[in-house]
Amino acid sequence: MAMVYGWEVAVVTLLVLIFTLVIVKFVFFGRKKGVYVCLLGYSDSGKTLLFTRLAHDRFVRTQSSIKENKATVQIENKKSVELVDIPGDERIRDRLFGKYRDNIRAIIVVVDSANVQAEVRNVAELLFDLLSSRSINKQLSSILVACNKQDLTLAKECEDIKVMLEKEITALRITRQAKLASMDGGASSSSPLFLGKKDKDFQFSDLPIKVQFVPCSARGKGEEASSIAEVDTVKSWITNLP
Amino acid sequence: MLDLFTIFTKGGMVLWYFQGTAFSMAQAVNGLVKTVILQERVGVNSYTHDSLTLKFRLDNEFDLVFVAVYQKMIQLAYVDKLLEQVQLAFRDRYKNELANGACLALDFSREFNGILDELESEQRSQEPRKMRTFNESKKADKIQQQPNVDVIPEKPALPQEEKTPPVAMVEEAGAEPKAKPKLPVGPVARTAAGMRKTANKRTSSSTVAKQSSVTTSPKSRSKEKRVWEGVVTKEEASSLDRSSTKGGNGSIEVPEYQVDYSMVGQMKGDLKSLEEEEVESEVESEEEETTSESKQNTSKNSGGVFSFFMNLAGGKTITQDSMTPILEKMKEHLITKNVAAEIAEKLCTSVAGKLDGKVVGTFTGIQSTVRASLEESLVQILSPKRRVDILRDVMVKREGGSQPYVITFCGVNGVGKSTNLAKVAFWLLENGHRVLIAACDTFRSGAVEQLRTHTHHLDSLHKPAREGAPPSIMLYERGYGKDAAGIAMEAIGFAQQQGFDVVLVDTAGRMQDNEPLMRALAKLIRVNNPDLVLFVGEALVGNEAVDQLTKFNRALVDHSDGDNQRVVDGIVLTKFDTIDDKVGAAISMTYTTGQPIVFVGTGQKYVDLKSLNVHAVVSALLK
Repeated sequence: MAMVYGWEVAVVTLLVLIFTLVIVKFVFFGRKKGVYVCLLGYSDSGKTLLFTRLAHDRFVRTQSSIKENKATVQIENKKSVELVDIPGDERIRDRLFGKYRDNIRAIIVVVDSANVQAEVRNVAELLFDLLSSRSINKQLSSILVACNKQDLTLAKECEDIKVMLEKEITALRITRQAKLASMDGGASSSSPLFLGKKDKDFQFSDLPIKVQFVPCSARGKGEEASSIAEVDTVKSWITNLP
Repeated sequence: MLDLFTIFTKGGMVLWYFQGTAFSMAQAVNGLVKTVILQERVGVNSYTHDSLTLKFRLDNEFDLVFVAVYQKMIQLAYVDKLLEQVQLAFRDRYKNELANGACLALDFSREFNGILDELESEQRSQEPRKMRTFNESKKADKIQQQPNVDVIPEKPALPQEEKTPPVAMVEEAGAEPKAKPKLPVGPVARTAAGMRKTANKRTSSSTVAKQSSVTTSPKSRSKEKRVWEGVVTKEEASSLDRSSTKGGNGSIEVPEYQVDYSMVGQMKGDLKSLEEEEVESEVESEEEETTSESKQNTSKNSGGVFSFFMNLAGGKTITQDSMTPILEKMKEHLITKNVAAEIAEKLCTSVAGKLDGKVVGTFTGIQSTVRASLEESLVQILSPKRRVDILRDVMVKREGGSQPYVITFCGVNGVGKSTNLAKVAFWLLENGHRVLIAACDTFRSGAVEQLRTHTHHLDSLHKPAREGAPPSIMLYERGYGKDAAGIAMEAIGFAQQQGFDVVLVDTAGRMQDNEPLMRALAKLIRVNNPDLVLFVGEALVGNEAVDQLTKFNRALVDHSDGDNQRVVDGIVLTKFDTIDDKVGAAISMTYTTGQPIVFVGTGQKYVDLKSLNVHAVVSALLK
């Protein structure tokens, strides 16, 4: 009789122990795999509209965001992702992105294809910061650059934008050469990575992270409320995420 | 009347809008968001964009922004009330949808039109106020009390009396020191009849005064050349001129220096940013380093576990009254950290505006919420709205043509312009650029010599690679007493000719109230159109910073061309090593201009030039 009791007590204790360990693991150590898919980009590039298209499949008029938008999104009934739209304004972008920076699953950089000439330096700096950060490199294996606003006549092709950005980043590499750590930002700020190969110009294909360029148009053609967006390229990229 | 009324979430999605014109006003509203809300000027609730006035209201409970846009010329008195009532009505109607989050394209037109009609009719029904006649006004009462002046009839015939008041004033002014008027000063003296009486009473005593007054001066005196104080005349200038040749590059014998080669190579690439220890007072810095990392980890985890409970426990709303004592304390704390008083006031009002009506969990204290919000605001203010990457800009300019990149340093006396100019020159030389220094301080004794010494020193530290190659740093000066704007223009032309990458223009220090000097500075900037105008301010300054920057900005704007408005583009904060943690001047300056702090001077050697570390400064401010 005593032996039976002993067995049951042992089993129960074991179960309780396992249960506690599992809780402790999830609460204190977190999940290793990243969770958030972040939309980043410069102001006025169309992030919030793209977010609304992906999350609610509707058109909405937008103004400059001062707060992030979050939603759990079902992409074509296959995958469910946590989509986060981070405001583009320089002053708050770093702070708000910092909340999600250590827990990312994917990053989509949205670029205004029509205005890229004027803003190529800012976009290049943003990409440079992302690509040379060690913590981002650890968490991600690919980044999407969505060349938005393809519905406008002045929009440039993805290839042209890619070349422009490569040139800018080559120049940035030189000016940031001896930059030491200690900028406000990453808690894991060890020295930033050198992008590309040392003796030739920077190219996206030299990076360990895969950077893909796709065209899209969050605005779509037609009247505001009834316009149909062309964001399938973005959607398919998200569904192909590991 | 209203051009636009929008309601949008803080995340940027427009929930409802009413548009009175076909003209798109999205740009104006974006401007409002970027300039007012993101720069922490929420206390001021109206903003002007071109010909439009924008008024707004924040709802912090549901994270909404209500904006009304109308033409600047039209005075609509009911806009504030409209915003208030619309906010209440909208919240009542859509409370549930807003609480759930995702809500798009709501239809609010009916209620809105109702409120708008009500307010418009209210305004129309108020009778326009009829102006009082003179006899009904207070002035007539006062005049009636004076015994020896008659009440002026309704419409006094003024034409013939127009000439006498000015003359009377002059004689009055001339006569004042001589004879004390017996008439009471005030309403009596200012009416036309009263002034005539004053003049008549004084003509007897003013014959002596007339001789000394400005209007009648004897014509026999020949015109003497006026000698202004402080300006060096031609004769004096040539005696002060120390340049051995009258040409540009003054190659005189170089005195032997002890050249410190250890400095070379330390400043390559981007500037280092301020480290934590430099901003803190010495005692606490060591403990901070070890505990900060462990604190970060624990706070994140405890947030994760307890946020679950906090969401369960319901919320309390933050009101103005509950925040006021905390904000008062925060304001005083900021002032002790050397933030200008009015800036601290505006900042606290802005934080109050952003938190008013917000709902927080019952376990979170209001103090910690206010403190967190204040910290966010400070970080936001100090973060630059655009990256100022000078090395990159210089490269772009170099690729674009033969024009050099021109940086102008301006500021009040004694803040460290020349010293920091030398530090910037050292940094640029380290990064392989060729620098020309333009000595446009033609006033202060020894200014040109100081720059020449720096040039020699820097040149010997960075000798060009080959023998006979052009020098990497040179000084362009024309001695003392000449026009600064002209020297700058010649220097830029010289730099272009000789292939220099950067021109650093040193100007004389000047007080912000000195009108002619401010005009001279504005002229220099207008004529030469530099790429970067840097205001040099010292970190020791307190309330003065606001005054200095406002007046400098205003002078530049007032005296610049219509289509090429220049303002201060960046700030150099000097003497940062002299303040321990009283770093408030950084906030005062960036808040006033909205421009970033580009350089921080932390000492008196060439290597003491850093870039701003926003978090270090903010944590020092809030400690």
